[in-house]
Amino acid sequence: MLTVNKQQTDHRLEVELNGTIEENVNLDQLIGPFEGELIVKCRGITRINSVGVKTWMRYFQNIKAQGKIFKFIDCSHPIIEQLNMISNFACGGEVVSVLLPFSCLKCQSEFIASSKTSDLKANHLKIPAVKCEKPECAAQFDDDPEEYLYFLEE
Amino acid sequence: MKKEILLLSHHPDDPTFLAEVALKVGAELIVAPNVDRAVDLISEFQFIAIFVDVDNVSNLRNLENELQKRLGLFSNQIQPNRIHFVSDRELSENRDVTLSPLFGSYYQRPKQDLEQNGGFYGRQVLASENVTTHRLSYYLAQETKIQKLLLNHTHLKQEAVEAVRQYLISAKIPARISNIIANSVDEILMNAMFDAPCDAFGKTIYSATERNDDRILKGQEVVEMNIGFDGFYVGISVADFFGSIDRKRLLNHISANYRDRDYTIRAGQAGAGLGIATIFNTGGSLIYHCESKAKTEVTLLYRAFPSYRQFKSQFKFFSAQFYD
Repeated sequence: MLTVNKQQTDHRLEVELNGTIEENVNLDQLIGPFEGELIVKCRGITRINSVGVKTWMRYFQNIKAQGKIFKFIDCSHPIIEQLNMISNFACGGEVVSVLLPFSCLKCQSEFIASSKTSDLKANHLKIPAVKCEKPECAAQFDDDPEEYLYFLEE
Repeated sequence: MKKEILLLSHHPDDPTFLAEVALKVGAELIVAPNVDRAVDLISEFQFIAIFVDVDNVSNLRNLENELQKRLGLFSNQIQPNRIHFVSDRELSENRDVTLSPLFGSYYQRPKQDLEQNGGFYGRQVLASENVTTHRLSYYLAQETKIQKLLLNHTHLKQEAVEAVRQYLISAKIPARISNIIANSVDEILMNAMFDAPCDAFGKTIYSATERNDDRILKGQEVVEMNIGFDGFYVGISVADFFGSIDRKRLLNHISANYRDRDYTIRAGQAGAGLGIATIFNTGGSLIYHCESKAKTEVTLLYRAFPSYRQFKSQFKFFSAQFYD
């Protein structure tokens, strides 16, 4: 199930997607008509199945064909998996920022940090060092950096 | 009865891995130094498993040609269900091997823990020897409790997927990994509900039906799911009772790669054609066991790791076993 929080301003619509994108999701209905650009906040997307991928691509390909501009903010792991597996998954939208997963085997914590793709590119896709609040934290990036940021490679 | 396993490879890691496989299944390991000798041995013995290094493409082509010349590729001595391709590359980077008439199972050489992973793969060899029910029990430790669920309505799919996710979280598997496994279960349930059902002529009934279609699953359409966790491995199997999956189509989907080419949404198909490749790309092993016109059982196997990084790089294999 997917829930959508919307905020329309003069020049853009911001939508926050939370939950699972699957066969019951209708992005046309959930997002609705909008003016200006579309900002899609992806932090809360926990899962997307193959039919969800099709739904996503159909929706964003359609709005791209209408000449609309759209951007993806804080792309969560399931979205990054798709960006890495399907070359045209972003459908021409700009991926502004991604969530980077970290885990600490010492304090058993998992957490995420947001990073702008422009910063990552400027830093040659090097993952920034991030720690949780605990002084003994030995958090590491919990993925293969090259694989995770593959879609950002030129 | 004496059992033998054949290895055709010069890779230094393969004998170590295969020694563990042989130990697990109680077989003798025989190493063939070249294709000629391998074909001699295949003529002589009924191997329970044949392992072939496919990184050397001429090795595979020569083997195909020699087998065809001397035994015929459809000889009883050659059963793809018992042939295992070994490579340093991921399957998605090695698409050509899926076109081989010998293709049965495939694994990328583990970079570490050869003995442990060899022992685990031995379970796959054991399972492929036994065309029986309760196949999940071959992959999990003895005494593992396996829970069975019958789904008799399409709308139960998402509930079943969520139940799997909760089961994994309660087994202390990290949320991110639990979501990935749940997503894979979603895909194989969807295939069992919508792609498997076919009529008496083998024509699919629901392939063009939207995947959110609310439908009762009656009789043969009921889908069975089993799940178990032995503390190290999570195993989930989903079975349909049509046995209709097409080998060529399956192998085409498993090696699909949309990294270098665009994905196109096809008109007239309700499914996306992405699920199987996604499952195999995101970690874990995937086994198709198809008894023609009777049953297709898809098994997912995952080693439970505390971090996603370890989870993603785990040893995994793909197997497509077809029985008439």
